[in-house]
Amino acid sequence: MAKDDITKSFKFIGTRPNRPDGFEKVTGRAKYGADISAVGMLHGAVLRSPYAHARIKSINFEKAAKLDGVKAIITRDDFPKDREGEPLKLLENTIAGEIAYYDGHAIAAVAATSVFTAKEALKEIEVEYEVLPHVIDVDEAMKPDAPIVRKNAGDFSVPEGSSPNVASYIEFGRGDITNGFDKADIVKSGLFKTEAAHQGYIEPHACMAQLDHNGQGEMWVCTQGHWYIRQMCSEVLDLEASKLCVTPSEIGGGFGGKTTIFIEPLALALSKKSGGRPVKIVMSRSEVLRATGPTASASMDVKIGMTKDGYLTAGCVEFRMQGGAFGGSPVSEALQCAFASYNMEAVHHIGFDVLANRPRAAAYRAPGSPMAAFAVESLIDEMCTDLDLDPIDVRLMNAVAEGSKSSYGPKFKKIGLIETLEATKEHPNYSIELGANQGRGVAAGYWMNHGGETSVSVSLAEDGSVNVSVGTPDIGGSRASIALMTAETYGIPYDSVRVNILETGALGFNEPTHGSRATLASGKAVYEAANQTIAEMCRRVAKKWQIDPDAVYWENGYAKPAGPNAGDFTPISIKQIASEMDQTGGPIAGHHESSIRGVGHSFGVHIADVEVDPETGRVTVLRYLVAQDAGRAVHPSYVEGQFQGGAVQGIGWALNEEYVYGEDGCLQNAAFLDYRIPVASDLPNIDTIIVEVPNPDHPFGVRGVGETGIAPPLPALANAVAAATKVRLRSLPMSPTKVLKALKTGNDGC
Amino acid sequence: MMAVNVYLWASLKKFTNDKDILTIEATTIGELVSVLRRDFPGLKPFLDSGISFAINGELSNPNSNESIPDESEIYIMQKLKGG
Repeated sequence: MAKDDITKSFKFIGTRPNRPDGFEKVTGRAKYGADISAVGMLHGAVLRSPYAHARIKSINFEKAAKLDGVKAIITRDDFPKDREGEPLKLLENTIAGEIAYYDGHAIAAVAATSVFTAKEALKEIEVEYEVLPHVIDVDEAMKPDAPIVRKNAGDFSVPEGSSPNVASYIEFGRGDITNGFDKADIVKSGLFKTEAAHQGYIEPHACMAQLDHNGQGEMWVCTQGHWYIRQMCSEVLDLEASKLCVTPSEIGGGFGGKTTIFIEPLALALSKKSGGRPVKIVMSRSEVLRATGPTASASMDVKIGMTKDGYLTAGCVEFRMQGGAFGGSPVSEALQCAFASYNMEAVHHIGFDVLANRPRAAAYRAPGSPMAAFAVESLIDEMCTDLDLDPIDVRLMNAVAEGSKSSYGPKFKKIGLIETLEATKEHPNYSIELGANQGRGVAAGYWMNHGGETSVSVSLAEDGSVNVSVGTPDIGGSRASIALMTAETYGIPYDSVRVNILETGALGFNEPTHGSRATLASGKAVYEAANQTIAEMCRRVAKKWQIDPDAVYWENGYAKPAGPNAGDFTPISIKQIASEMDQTGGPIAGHHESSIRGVGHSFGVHIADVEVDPETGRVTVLRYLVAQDAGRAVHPSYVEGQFQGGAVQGIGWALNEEYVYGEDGCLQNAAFLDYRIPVASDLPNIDTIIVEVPNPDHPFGVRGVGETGIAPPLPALANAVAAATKVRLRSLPMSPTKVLKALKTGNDGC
Repeated sequence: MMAVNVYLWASLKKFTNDKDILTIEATTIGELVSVLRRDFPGLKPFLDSGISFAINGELSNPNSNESIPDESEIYIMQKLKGG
């Protein structure tokens, strides 16, 4: 499968050693956010708005403050009043000021000597609300007479005459759209809708914070990015960033939802008000669903032109996405992904980021791409069906390749969509015969991947083992992959490398583990840092041999003379060099800091086989295949896990998951009993194909693999359901109720 | 000083005299951004909002010291939100 343009043969990369964090996790020793505690620690609890939109007329916490064990109560009055721009939005979302903007919006918080006391105190806080009109649905929010979520919320980009709930507007494209549609033999359009879905990480948000009166503090947080936590908390609380030290805990899933702040500034403010005692806050599942960021809901118009042979001639999209009360839907990314898989002469994209009385949207695995894929890949499938064309052949005819101009502008470097489509077509799943009420769906997906600000260090221990220090929390196997790349660089065993994730004071700024970047970016930085230490080891050996440093080279854990002219010397191992460090110049360490370049764009193709029960509308996934270009699979088991994890989340989003709001604007399913994520018994075996078209801009050919896998499942399942039932559903989730209605009435769900 | 083509999304044309391709004389990203701020002040909130660049197909965070190769094709986009 590998198309290997990088000629190195690898000793460790591509192997499947045990994960370094496995033992601690299966024995319960790993410390997650809620496991942290400290002497004198208080417990925090948060009072949340029961209304979707309400003016806060007064807050009286006199009774609560008198409860035995209550040490501090905070409201918005305890936060700086001069914030503006993004810090103000972060603060507003953290704790309401004059207005509660959504069901679950934080109103006040208590720190007490026990969780029980803190929760009892919440019951004693009296809040007088004036209920305001609310809006939940994105299309309703776009109407001229919709309730206004926040006045003057539109930014510089919003065209005159837009709904006051439009926060931002994007438009781009290229080519002659009219001419493109004129060239088509078939032009089809449709409205597609997706509901908000939560990342569904198993570990709720948790943190412990300590802040002194002088602004010096520490924080232990379950997060994907502790520098972001430091930066955002500093901006919200007006602290000096360097005085706040943030340490990440182990993390039980994030998927983008743990790249921003929710409870962290509250814990810091409670600590400060209680005289600097540590304060721990652990969210309940209900709080996670009501008050943290799911992804956006979307309403999307798509129009595509195709020749009778299957060539795409033109495409237009208009996406409207609500990102909660403070904006921030991934509409820009969705537009970039919409037609990114295809060569099209004429494309036009329009996007609206729309406010609604919902929690502020956070990133969710390939933000925006799944919604875009659902709309575009569904419509392409409809056209393939109309023209009786093979859906993989059509995608192959139109697939982008190296040198193609992407639908959003820049040209692609080396990419592997064609290889991925070919691998999918050859897989046995594509030719298995289907039975009654069964259907097969194919879809492609794209994610651009990200490099980002990265800082690492590498140091030699005195016995020749290696410590690697990174700032990207390990949410998907990055400790193992970074250890493998380090072992490969030095030529030492995997077990001789320990990868540590350090706190904010120990390294330069690191962006979170987001954008599928941890293995790519930290790995590339570690490669650079490790080579610094190798150069230093070669210099020290050269001095010992009294030859030029250029006459020493590194291979398989040894410094060696570069050839017969360098002299006849016995190679010296890393162990020996390390054991003599104190006598040859002191510690040997390297570091690297940069904004990492050279991301490899990522494409995936999925095949879903389903069976639809005509009596109940239940969709059963019979078998599922994920094929994706990994560039280079450093640890194939983790790569397969990422592929499967993305598919599972996409299956949940396609079939079951949705935020259900009542007429009062309050979330009706704020628990996993009612917010239905897939469990093992809902899922088939998910086959994987790791396609390897190495990224030429990474020392080991790596592309990010974490996010792309969630984009194709939504359309793949919709296409499979359409094939099984001959009825097209254009609205997600395809719950039994919706499928049954479609079977009876032909209603597409929109 | 060499000229490079800078591609902007169409929704920004209202700040650039209805042009979505600008020819700018600049040798570094920093110079490029300075020229955009000077000649098209309406772009300031966009440039301040968090942007990324694609230089000859290479996506990256903005680095004001980065040299721009000859005949580069530069796209300015919103900063990516990854999950």
